[in-house]
Amino acid sequence: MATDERPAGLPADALRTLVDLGRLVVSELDLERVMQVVVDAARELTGATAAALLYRADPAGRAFTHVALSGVARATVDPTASAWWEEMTSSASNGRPTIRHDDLDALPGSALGVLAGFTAEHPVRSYLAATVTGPDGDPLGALLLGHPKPGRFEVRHELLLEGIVGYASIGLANAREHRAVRDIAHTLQRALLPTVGFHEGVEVAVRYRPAARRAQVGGDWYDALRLADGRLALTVGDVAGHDVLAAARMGTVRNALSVHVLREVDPGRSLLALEEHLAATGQRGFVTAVQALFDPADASLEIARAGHLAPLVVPAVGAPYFLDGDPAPPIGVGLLRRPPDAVRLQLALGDRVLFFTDGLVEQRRTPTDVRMARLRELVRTLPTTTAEGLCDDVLARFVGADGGDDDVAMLAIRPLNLVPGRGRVSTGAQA
Amino acid sequence: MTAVGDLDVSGALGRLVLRGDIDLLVVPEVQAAVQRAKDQHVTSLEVDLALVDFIDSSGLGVLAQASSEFERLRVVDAPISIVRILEMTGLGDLLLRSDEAG
Repeated sequence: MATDERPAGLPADALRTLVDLGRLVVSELDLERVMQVVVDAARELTGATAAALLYRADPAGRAFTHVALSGVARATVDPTASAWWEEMTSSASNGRPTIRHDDLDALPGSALGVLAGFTAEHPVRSYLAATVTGPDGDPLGALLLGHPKPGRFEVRHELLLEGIVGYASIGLANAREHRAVRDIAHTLQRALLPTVGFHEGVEVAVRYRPAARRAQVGGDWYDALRLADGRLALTVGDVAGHDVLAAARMGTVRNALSVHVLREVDPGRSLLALEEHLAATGQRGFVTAVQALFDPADASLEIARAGHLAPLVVPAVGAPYFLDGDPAPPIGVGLLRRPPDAVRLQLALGDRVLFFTDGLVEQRRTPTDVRMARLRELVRTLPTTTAEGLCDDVLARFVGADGGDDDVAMLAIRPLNLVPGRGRVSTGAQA
Repeated sequence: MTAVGDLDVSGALGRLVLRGDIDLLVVPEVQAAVQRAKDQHVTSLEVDLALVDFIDSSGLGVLAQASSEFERLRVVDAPISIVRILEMTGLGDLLLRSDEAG
C-alpha cells in the first residue's frame, strides 16, 4: 500500500511521541536542535509529507531567520513574511491558533503554495498551520504541515498540532533565552580576559576554555604584566564557580591583584596583599592563585602559590615535573596570614613552565593527583617545543573536545633569549 | 540529617559527617549544617570525610570558609585522595594531626 493511500489516522504511539517530544524540548537548549526535533515529531504525528517550522529571532524583522524542515527540501519553503503570515497571526489573535484547509486548490484565486508558506515546487492541498507564540504572546514563528492529497487532516490533527506547538513555544523561548545569555556571557568574557602582548625574549602563551555546556564564562583567569624594569609578572587564578557571577568576581579580583603586583612586585607579598584587600572590602570567597615573576635578564622565575596546584616544569632536556611542595592556603577565606613562600627556578633557554587551573585536572571519578601524573606523562611524549604548541596539545589531548565540568585557564612561558634589565643589576644565572 | 551530612553536637564539640559528592549542588546544605553547628555554640568542629567520594573547589571553599568561623576545625578520616587534594591546595593544616587526636 503506497504511503499516500494510507488513511490519515493517528499513529498508534502518538501519545508516547508527544510525551517524548515534551521531554526532549525542555531539556534541549540549542535552537536548531529544538526546531528539528519539533518539526520531525510534527510530521510523524500528523502524517504530513511536508513540515516546516519557521522562527523569527527578531520580532521586528520581516523574514524568518531559522527554518527547520522535515520531508522537504529547503527550496520549497518561502521564509519571507507574506500574506499567509498575516492571515495566521490575525487568526491566532482571534483565538484560532490553528488554520486548516482541506484543499488549497479549492481556495479562490491565489498563488496557493506561496500563500501557504510552501512554494509551488511542492504541491500542497491538505494544509495545517499554527503560530508559535512566546510566553508573552508575541509570535515567534509558525509550524506548517502539508500533504499533496486533499482532506488528509481532521480536527484531531488540529488538536495534536496545538499540543506540539505548545512544546515548541517553550523550546523556542528557552533556546532564545539561552542564546541571549550566552552572547552576553561571551562578550563579558572577552572583555575580562586580556590579550597577552608580545614580550621580548620570552614566549608567553595563554588559553581559556569555559566549562562545557554552560555559559561561556567562569572564574578562571590569566594575566601577564610587564613591570617598568622589564620583568614579567605572571598570574593564573581561579575564583570558585563557572558562571557569569564567577566571571564578574574574577574581574574584580584580577584587577585588584594586578594593582598589588605593580606595587609589591614580590609574588608572595602580592598574594597576601590581595587577601588583605578582599578581607577589607568584605569580599569573601575562595580564590586560588599562582603568582610568578620572570626576569628575562637571567631567565629566573620566582613562583608563589596560594591554594593553587603546582605548575608543570617542562625542561628542554629531561622529563617534566611538577613544582615541589604544597602551597600556602587559598585566598579569601581568612586563612592566609603571611606571604606565601616563593620557590625560585633557574630556567634554561627553551625550558617551558605550564601554569593551569584545577579545571584541567579535576575529574569526578579520578583523583586529581592521578590526573596530574597523566598530564605529566602526556607532556613528556609531546613533540612540540613551543609554549603555544604545549597549550594547544594539552587542550586538544588532555581536555578533549567536550571540555570538562569546570573552566580551564592556562599560561605557558618559554624563555627565548636573555634581555638585559633596565636600570637593574641582574643577579646573574646560577649554576 | 540531610542528604549529604549528619551533625552531632555534644557541648562545644561538633562532628559533621559528610557523604557522597561535595560539589556546587550540595554546598548550600553543607553551609546550613555548619550554620547549625554555630547556632548550637560549637567551638571545635570535626568534619568526617570517610564517606565522601569527591570534593571540588566549591566544597573545599566551604571547608576553608568554615575553618575561619570556629576556634578549631579539623578534617578526619578523609580518604587518601582527599587528603592529597587538601594538601595540594594548601588546606593540609585542616587535617587532624596525630598529636591532636583525642
